[in-house]
Order: sequence, then structure tokens, then C-alpha cells
Amino acid sequence: MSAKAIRMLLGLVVPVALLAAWWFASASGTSPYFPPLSDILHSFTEVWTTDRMATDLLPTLVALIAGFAVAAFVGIGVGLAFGLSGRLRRDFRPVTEFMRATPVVALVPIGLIVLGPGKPMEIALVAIAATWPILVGTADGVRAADQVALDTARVYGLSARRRLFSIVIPGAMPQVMAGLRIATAAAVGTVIVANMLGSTSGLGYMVVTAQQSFNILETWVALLMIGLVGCALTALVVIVERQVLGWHRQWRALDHSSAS
Amino acid sequence: MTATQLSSRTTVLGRVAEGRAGRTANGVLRWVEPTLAVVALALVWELASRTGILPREDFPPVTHIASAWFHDIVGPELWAGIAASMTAWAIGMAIVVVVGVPLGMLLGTSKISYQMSYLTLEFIRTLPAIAALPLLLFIYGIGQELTVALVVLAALWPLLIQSMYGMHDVDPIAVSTARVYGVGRTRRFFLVDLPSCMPYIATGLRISGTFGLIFAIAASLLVGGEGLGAAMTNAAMVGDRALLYARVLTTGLLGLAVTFALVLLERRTLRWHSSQRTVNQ
Repeated sequence: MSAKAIRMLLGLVVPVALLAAWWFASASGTSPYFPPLSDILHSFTEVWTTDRMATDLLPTLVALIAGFAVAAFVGIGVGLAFGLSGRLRRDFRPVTEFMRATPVVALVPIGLIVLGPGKPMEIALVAIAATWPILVGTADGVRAADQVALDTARVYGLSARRRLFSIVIPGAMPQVMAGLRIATAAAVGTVIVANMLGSTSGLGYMVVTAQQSFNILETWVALLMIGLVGCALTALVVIVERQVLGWHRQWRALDHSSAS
Repeated sequence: MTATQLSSRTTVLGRVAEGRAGRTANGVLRWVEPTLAVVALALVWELASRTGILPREDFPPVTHIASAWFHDIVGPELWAGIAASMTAWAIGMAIVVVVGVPLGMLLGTSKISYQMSYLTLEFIRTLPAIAALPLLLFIYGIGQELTVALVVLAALWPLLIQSMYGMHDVDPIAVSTARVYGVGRTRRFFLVDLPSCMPYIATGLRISGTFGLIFAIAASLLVGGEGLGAAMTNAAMVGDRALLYARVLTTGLLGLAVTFALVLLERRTLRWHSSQRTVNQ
């Protein structure tokens, strides 16, 4: 067996062990809040029919993807400008730092008042939450462009546009991707909160109504789906990251440091 | 370039003087322009709101928000909310440190346990902890316990993972050296392992701390009870838009203060770390 296969198997041990522990502990448990995992899974397959997916899963996914797309567009665009111009970055630093430090949940009441409950509010909040990590990651990545490569390109008479597209942007990609990954988690959390407070559909709404009607099993079913959505999105970003950065010689090193 | 300029550039003193002058000019610029940018943005907001370009009832003028803010920060309601949120945050973070650091370091001690857990943990950290709120509501009901539980559930992972990475990255040569010199296990832990983990733990604490604050505020925003989140909901309920904006501003400033304090703490440990490294080299 190759080293990689062994590593994969080792990585599977903990999740499998956790699931097994949950399965057996809940099967014999007496707590009403932790129903047997077998019951949860059974009810999961019953609840998630195509209809339910259309009413509860789809709205959340739409808001999530639309908001994330806006955030990626704005975050990369503005981040690029901030990375290229030290002056711009410095002048707007108070604003970016403040927005980064403001918990996005604090903006939910404003979003509710200005846009009212519904899709536009959800999309706007997801976009706001996800923009900052992408913006900051892009700006940092652009700023850290390889100076030797840039000077070489300038000496060889490459145009500013070519320098931007063949040196600055590829060089910034690892940090852009790290920003996107952090933004994914922020976006999922935000869409759930927005769903909980100001929606009549979606996963957050589903989990709140299940809780309010003391339907513990359905609360767990909704929770499990939220977890699955989170896992799937993270996996997606990791796959894209591998595709985009596979060539990057520094990728492995950066990947490790980006976790910090 | 004239000769005098050249000489002032080439002498060490000249360079120092120039550097100092440059730094002061930079230092002033560093404050003036960003301040102007903030003032300009506030002015644009004020004008847009006063002239009705932005709907005035949704976006009250900055001057109204400012006056609401000054009234709010001398009143008891806001401070009660801040105290409740920050207490829950502090208790939650204490639990996170007590559980996360030892557990993370333990998992990072052996290669096998590291390999087994890091993927699972990296995935767990991306799960939206806020989704567990309804479940926690069953168990704890509305109150500080609920907020503390949510803070722990959300903030545990970054610190745990960082502690694990820290232990995993302890310089094996330092460990061998300590072993050769007959340093016992306990002393080795305090002399080698813990100091070399500290920068990682500090980074983890910063991420966890800022993360935990979000959830400390979110809990009372979502379910009510006491806290800054509930203070915002109250302002929205009575329809006082300026007060709502003022409280969002306060929340942002609180976030900034917590982030700043944690970054400072992180820099301290990191500075120690890098200086130590240059001495070693």
C-alpha cells in the first residue's frame, strides 16, 4: 500500500469512529434530545423528498451561491485594486478593518429593515460576509507578488497588462483561494442566520420551525443537511483549489500556512 | 543630483536624518489620508440621506446616528448588553482554552494521531456552528448557558487545530537535543514543546476569539435574552433606526477592540518567536 493510501485510511478512522460512537451511544441513550442515529437517518431519507428539497434546500443554496458570486466578484476586483495601490489600501484601511471586525450577524437587523425579509436580504448579507476574507486575501496576495519576476518582466519590456495577468494574478492565486475558503464558511453561517431570522423558506427556517414545534427528529435532520451542505461546499473549494494551484510550486507550503 | 545631496545621502547620519524625516512625513500621511477617507464617506452618507438619495428612514443621517450613539453609551441598557455578551464570551473562551490547547497538543504529539485527526478537524471547523443553536436551545433554554455553549462550539476548533499544528511542528532537533542532555519529559514539555507551540496557540486564540465574539452576539440576537444582540433587536423593534445603527457601530467597535487586543497578544508571542529564531541561526 502506498503512503498516500495509508494516509487516506488514517484520515477515515476518526470520522468512522465518531459516527460509530454516536450510533451506539444514541441507540442506548435516554436523552430525548439525542435520538438514535438510526432514527435520524431513517427520517432523513423520508424528509428529504424532491419536494422538500425544492422548498427548503434550494432557496438556501440559491442565496448562498448568488451571494458568494457577488462577493467573489467584488472581493477579487477591489482586492486587486487595493493590492496594486498601497495608497488606496492605506486610505481605506480603517473602513476595511472595521468591516472585517464587525460581526456580520450585527448587520442582519439592518438588512431586515432596509431590504425586508426575503431573497435580496439573504443574498446581500451573504455577499457582505464573504467579501472581506476574499478582498483581504487578494490584496495580500497581490502585494506579495514576486518582485524579481516583476523586475525581470519589466526589463524584458512586458506591458503592464501582461505583467498583471501573467505574474501578479497567478502569484496571488494561493491567497485568493485561501480567502475563498474562509469566505465559504462565513457565507454558510450567514445564510443560515439570515434564514433563521428573516425567511419563510430555507434550511435555517426549517431548523427553527422544527425547534419551535419541538420536533427534535426534524431538527436533527435539518442540522444534518446543513452539515452536509457545509461539507460539500468546503470539498468543492478544496477541489477547485487543487485544480487551480496544482502547478504552484509554493502551494503546499502556503496551504499549510494558510491554515494558521 | 548635486554634490551636497549626494554627500547627505552617502553619510550614515544623512541617511538616518532622511529616514527620520521620511518616516514622520509617512507617519502623518498614514493618519491624515485614512481619516479624510472616513470623513468623506460619512459626508457622502450624510448628504445622501439628507437629500433623500438614500431612503432617509432606512439610512438615517450620520449626525443622527452619532447623537444616538452618544446618548446610548451613557445609558445603562447598552452596557448591560455588552456586559452579558462579553461575560458569556469570556467564560466560553476560558473553556475553549482549557479544552482546546491540551487536546490539540495531545493530538499533535504523535504523527499517527495527527494524520488521523487533522482532516476531520479541518472539516468540522467549516461547519456552521450557528445551526446547532436550535438543538442547544432544547438543552439549555434561553440564557447565558446557551450563549456560552454556542461560543465553545464555534470557537473551540481553530484553537484546537492551531495547538495541534504547533505540536506537530516542534523542531525535532530541539527535542533530541533536550533528550541527549537528559532533560526529563515534564521539563522538556515546558522548555521545548510549550514555548515552540506558543505562537501557534496565540494565532489560534486570535481566530477563536474573534469567531467566538460573533457567536456571543449572535445568540442573543437570534433567541433573545440578555446581550448586545438583544439590544440591537430591541432598537429595531421600537423602530429607532438611528439607535439600531448606533448599536451596530458599537458592535463593530467592540469587535475591533477585541481583534486589536488579540492581535497585540499574538504579535508579542510571535516577536519572541522570531527573535529567538534569528539567535538560533
